[in-house]
This record gives sequence, C-alpha cells and structure tokens, in this order.
Amino acid sequence: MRSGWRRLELLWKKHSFELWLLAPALLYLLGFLVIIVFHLLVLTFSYTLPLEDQFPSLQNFVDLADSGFFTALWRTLLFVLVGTPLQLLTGLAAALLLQRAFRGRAVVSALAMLPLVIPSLVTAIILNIVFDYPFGHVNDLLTGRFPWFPELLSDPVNWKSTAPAALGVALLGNVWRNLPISMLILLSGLLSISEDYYEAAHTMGATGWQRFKFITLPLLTPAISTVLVLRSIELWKEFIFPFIVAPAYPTLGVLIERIHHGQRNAGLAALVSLLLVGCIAASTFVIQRSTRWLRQRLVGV
Amino acid sequence: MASVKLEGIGKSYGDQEVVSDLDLEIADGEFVCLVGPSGCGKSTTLRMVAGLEEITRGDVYIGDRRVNLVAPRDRNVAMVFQSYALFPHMTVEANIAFGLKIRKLPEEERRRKIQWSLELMGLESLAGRMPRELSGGERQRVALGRALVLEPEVLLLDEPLSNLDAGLRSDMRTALKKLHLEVQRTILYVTHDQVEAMTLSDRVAVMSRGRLMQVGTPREVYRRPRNLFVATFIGNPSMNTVQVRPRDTKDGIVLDAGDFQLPLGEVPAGLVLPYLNQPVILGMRPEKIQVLEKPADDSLRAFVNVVEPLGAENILDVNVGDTNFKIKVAAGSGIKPGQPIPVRFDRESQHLFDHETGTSLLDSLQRPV
Repeated sequence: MRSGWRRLELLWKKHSFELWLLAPALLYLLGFLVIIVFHLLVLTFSYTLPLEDQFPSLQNFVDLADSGFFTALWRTLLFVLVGTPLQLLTGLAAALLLQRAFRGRAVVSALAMLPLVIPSLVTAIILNIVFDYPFGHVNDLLTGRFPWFPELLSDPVNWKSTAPAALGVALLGNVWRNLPISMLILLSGLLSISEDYYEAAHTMGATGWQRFKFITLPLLTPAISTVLVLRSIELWKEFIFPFIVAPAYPTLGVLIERIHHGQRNAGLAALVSLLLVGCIAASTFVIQRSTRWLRQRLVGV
Repeated sequence: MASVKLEGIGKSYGDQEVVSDLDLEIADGEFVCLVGPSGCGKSTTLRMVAGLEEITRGDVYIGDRRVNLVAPRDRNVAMVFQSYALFPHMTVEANIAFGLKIRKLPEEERRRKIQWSLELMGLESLAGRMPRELSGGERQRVALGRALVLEPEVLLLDEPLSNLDAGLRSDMRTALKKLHLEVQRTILYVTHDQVEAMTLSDRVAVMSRGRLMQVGTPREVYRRPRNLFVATFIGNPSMNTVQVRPRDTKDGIVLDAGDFQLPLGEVPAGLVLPYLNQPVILGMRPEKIQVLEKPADDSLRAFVNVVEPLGAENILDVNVGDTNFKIKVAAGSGIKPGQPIPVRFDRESQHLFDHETGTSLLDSLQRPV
C-alpha cells in the first residue's frame, strides 16, 4: 500500500505538468459524459409521477411498448439505411466533380458550402413551403401550372399525409444540407491519392473505371468509412427535418421530444434516448466492420 | 520490342513552350538517356512518349505506329516513376500482377510471369510484403519488376534512382545495366545526373531549355561537345572555360586570355581565322591540364587555392593570374594550398566555342573521335 502511494507520488512529481494539461479534458469528460450518463441511467429507472419520481422502477420498460417506440425505431432505421448511402453517393459525386482542376473551382467549392451556412430550421421551413399542399411550388410544377414543365399529375399530392413521402422530403432536406460535409471529407481523401498511382495504372492498361475501382476506391475507404460513421450517427439522431417536415411520423429523435415535452415523461424519454445510443453504437460497429472487410476485399485485386 | 521515333515534337502550356522541335530516334533495344538540368523538358518528353502528356506539335512513333492519339494503355510501354508509384494497398506480388490482371491473362500464364519477374528482380522472399515495409532499393526493384512483367516494347524510366542514397544508387546503376543486357528492351531513361547518363546509356541525349543540345555516345558528348552547354554540363568537375582572343603572331595563332597566352592546339587555324581578335570561349577538361615537376618553357605559373581529395584523385582549385581553373590530378602528389605550381595545358584537347552562340568551332567539321 505504502509503495503504491509512493509510486503515485513519483508519477505526480515526474508528470505533474502533463497531468495538469490533461485536467481540462478530464473535467470535460466528467462533466459532460459521466454525470450526464449517470443521470440518464437514474432517469431510466425512475417512474415519473406528478408529484414525485419513484425510484427504482421498471415501469418505463413496461410503457415502452405503447409509446410508439418500435414504429419510430423502424422509421429511423429506414432513415439511416436510405440516407447514409445517399449522403455517401452524393458527396462522392460532388467530390469527384470538384477534384478536377477547372476554371472557377474556388467559386464552385464556395457555393457548395452554402447548404451548411443556412440554419437547418430555415431549410426545413422552406421545404415545408415548397412541398405545401395544395399550393406548394412542387405541386404547382407537377400539376402543370408552369407552361415550360409537362403536367405529370392531375391532382396535387399531400406530401405530408403519407410516411414515405413526408420522411422522404425530410431526408431530402437532410441530405442536401449535409452534402458539403461528406463532400469535404471525400474530397480531401481524393486529393491525398497521388496522381502517380493513376498514371502508373494508366500506362499498365487500366481503363478509367478500372482505375476508379482498383486505385480510388480502396485508397478512399478510410474517408468513406469516416463519412458512413459520421453521417449514420447524425441520421440516427436527426431531429429538425422530421420534426418540421414530417411531424405526423416521429422518428426516434422526434419521439424523445414528444415524450419529454408533450407527455412530460422524463423517465421514458431517458429510456428511449439510452436505446438510441445503443442503436448508434451497434450501427457504428457494423459499419466499421463492414468497411474493413470491404477494404480487404478491394485490396486483394 | 520496338524503336521509338520523335519527329519534331513540341509541347506548350499556353504561351510557354517547354519542349520545342525535338528529333530523336531510338533504335530497337537501345538504351538512351535524356539528360539535362531540372526544368529542361526531359520528363515532359518522356511523358509524351508514355502518352501521359498531350503532344502539341510533331509525331511520336513506336515501331511503325504513330501513337500521338493512342491512349497510354494501348501503347505497350511501361513506365517507372521517380516516386515508384507502387500501389500502397497491394502486396509486392499484387503490384506486379496488376497489369497482367488488367490484361486478363490466364491464371497459369500470369503465375509464370509473376514468378519470372520476382526472380529476375530478386524479390521472391518479399512477394507478400506491402510497399511500406520495403526499403528504397526494394521498392525500386518492385517498380522495375512491375514494368518488365508486362513485356513492354519500350521501357520508360523517369529519374528512377534519384530517391536512393549514393551507395545504393551506384549498385542499382550496375543492376540496371545488367538488366538491360538481360532483357534487351528499348529503354528511354530520364535523369538530371550526368554520371548516370554517361555510365548507363548507349547514347546520351542532352537537353536544355526544351531543346535537344546533342545526341551521341557518352564518348562523343564528352570528347566532342557540340556547344558550350554540353561541354560544361557533361563531366565532373565541369570543363574549365575562359574567354580568349585569337591573335595572329609570328609564331602562329595564339589564344590571348589576358593573364596568359596559349598556342592554338589542334583546332584548324582556318576555323579560328574569322575570329581573330574577337572573343571566343576556350574550354579545357580538368584532367587535360598537367601539373609539371618544374617550370618549363611552355608552362604557366598557377597558385593553388584549395585541394579537394577524392581518394584516388585530387581536384585542385587554382588561379592563373585572375583566371580560376579546376585541375584533376592523381592523389599523393603532395600539392598544398597556397603553393605555386607549374601547369601545362594539353594542346590536343582545346575546345573553342563561339562567344555569342556557344557553338563549337569544330562543329562544322566531321572528324573521328
């Protein structure tokens, strides 16, 4: 025991400066992670009653079934499954376009950042206006109110009245807004691949597609993996677009807000949040495993 | 295998001409070095042969085929890059297999060729390694193996040794020369290092500022440089140059350098006559200046500034009057800095160049080397 203290003392003497430097990070972890997670766990096992909370209790787990959790989970899963690849593909397409040097590239890159600058709330409200029923711009366009566009529908569509349409529009907004993030990550990945590799492959007989498949794609997997992980996490947590555009079809993020503010049930909201964190952890694990597997497959040429 | 012919090729970026009007023929199986200082357009020329750079003017032929508009992958050339450009995500074997796989060779043949290449380059034990686990010299060998396995008609090498340290570079130089004897490919090799160019190639093509200065065997470009650029670029230490004026005296034509005078050597007097009393440039190789035991009638008095020992030889930095020269002498001569020594300029080895154009006065003559 005494030797243990002695060792700690030595450690402190030797590394006190480094330990002081670590202090802010440790405080941050304590403040924003340990305390919050601890509180979340306590809330999860608390049954919220009008006057006083009952602790410990498993009532939240019983209430979960009727809370709409499983429907919301299913919606959110679809949101992630469709949205993540979509963000990757649109980001990759944009990055491949911007990778080439052309006149005005700087202007185009700056413009491509634009979605990020507009507050999501504003974008979501604009989407609401554009997809309004029955007089939104999209309905006007599709029902042939503009002479330069063919009439595709006889009657306007109520975009918000079906889950696929409403969530689809919300997803559209999310993908558009976050395009610059995936684009930037992929672009920096693309630019880090030496031109020599492409030229070497070219002289060895590789076509454009083969160069993309055998050089670009495998060397871009770290960036692709980053995009998939980051974007899927954001999509799991997504709140503002479904909240504004598809209020009738809550995703997990929206559901937590409903339960917490609408039903004033902090305990149940905490449980849903905890399950959401679990989903994120599981999906991140799967994505990292599969990109590693993919990388190994691609590397084998 | 095939010959390569460049016919008046040129390359411009906008208004800037980086290669102009270059003619060069490389025979089947020949090893030719393009050598010149950085920025002289040698790499651009190589890349035009590879098809990685568009040709602005002129024609490139590989064999009898004009390849200006042929894609790199259809030219049947292989290129080794200065950076080696080994695919970092593939093993040595996969790197070598890449081109064969692209060409969809049957498995059996592919195995055989990969094995041949690994053996040729001594890479059998490294087949499963990743490029990052290899030393510079090993990467170099993989790059060569990867190029040769495709059995290209022409092998293009872009400064392949410049990333290696001095000892390894000299080893690889020998290895490359052996390799060329073994595989007998047409090789076009770009380097800024004149020693590499001289030791490796059948013929050297010296370039400067986008133009071809001279093409010839290493012996030709060394012994008979066609202009001042080639004269000073080839050879280490460089050729000594000094401005002189030919004067007609009763003893025949002498070259007057101000500080001293030299009798005209074997350059025919007829070629010098038009330049009487005009400035011309005299060039002397450092090894063609002799240090004498004691002063003689035709010797000059030189002061030694610096002695640079190179092992077998010493380089002396001397002054004759105000004119600075480098002299190459055998080591062990016991010459010390600050010492006056008698030197004699070898009369047979004078090079004379036009003061304005830098062209050798001998250029108009046909003379065996």
